[in-house]
Amino acid sequence: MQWKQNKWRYFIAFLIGVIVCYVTTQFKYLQINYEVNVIETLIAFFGLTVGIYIADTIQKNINRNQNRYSFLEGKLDDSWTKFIKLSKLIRVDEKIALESLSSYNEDIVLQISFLRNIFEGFKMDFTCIDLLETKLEEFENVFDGLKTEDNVKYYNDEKGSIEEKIVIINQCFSNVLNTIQKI
Amino acid sequence: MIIIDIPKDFSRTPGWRTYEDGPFSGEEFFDKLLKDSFAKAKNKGVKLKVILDGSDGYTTSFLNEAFRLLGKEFGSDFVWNNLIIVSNEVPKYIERIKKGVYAMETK
Repeated sequence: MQWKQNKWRYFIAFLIGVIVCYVTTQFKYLQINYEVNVIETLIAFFGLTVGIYIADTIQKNINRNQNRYSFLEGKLDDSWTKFIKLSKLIRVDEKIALESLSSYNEDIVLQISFLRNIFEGFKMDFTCIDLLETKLEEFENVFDGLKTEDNVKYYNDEKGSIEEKIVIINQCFSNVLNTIQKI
Repeated sequence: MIIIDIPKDFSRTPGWRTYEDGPFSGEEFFDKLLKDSFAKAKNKGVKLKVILDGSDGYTTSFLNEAFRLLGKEFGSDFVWNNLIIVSNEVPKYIERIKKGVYAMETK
């Protein structure tokens, strides 16, 4: 018979079952104590209040940081996209209209200055954004030194230097983004 | 005190350095407004207040040229001591203007 071959196994399993049942039946899960321990109750209420306060503070902090992140990231992204557009325009040509450079000043340089003010207001580290501002100013200065004809700047001789500056500025933008992501 | 509000009195979209660089350049601003206003302020013995806020931004060359010419005309120290620059939006412009005012001395 099959069960005779495994009788010891069944016996040990039966014993384990008995022990488990005995141990579990010793716990009194649903016993309700009608006595109120004042000290323990006060401690419980205090613990609950502290817990709620901590949860609320953490949640507010998370919300505030998320709002800051979205706001700053949106502003930076906008300026960076415009800079990339301008860079493409510069890379494919050897001249640029003053109008485009003026929009560089309005849409990128000025916006980065505002972003720096916000960084300062939020008491964030603005070293990276200071560097970006300096690099943008240097970029602008390259065009300032170029000859203008009919409201157009010609930069063929300076193209290499301009492209190097574009790379550095993009690195600065990514550093600022990195700082924002640390919020 | 004499006041120049650049966005109102000159242009909300200031340009570049010289007349060759297109309209509303720093040179044009100096010739048409800054020079005369500063001379008036000097004659009256008052300071000249220049308000930068409210524009679409200033190129470094615009600020440098306009105030470089002013420093050259009236003397750097005298100009700097009799100017009040209002730039709450971009405080960095004040430093650029100072560089412009003293540009002739550093050359």
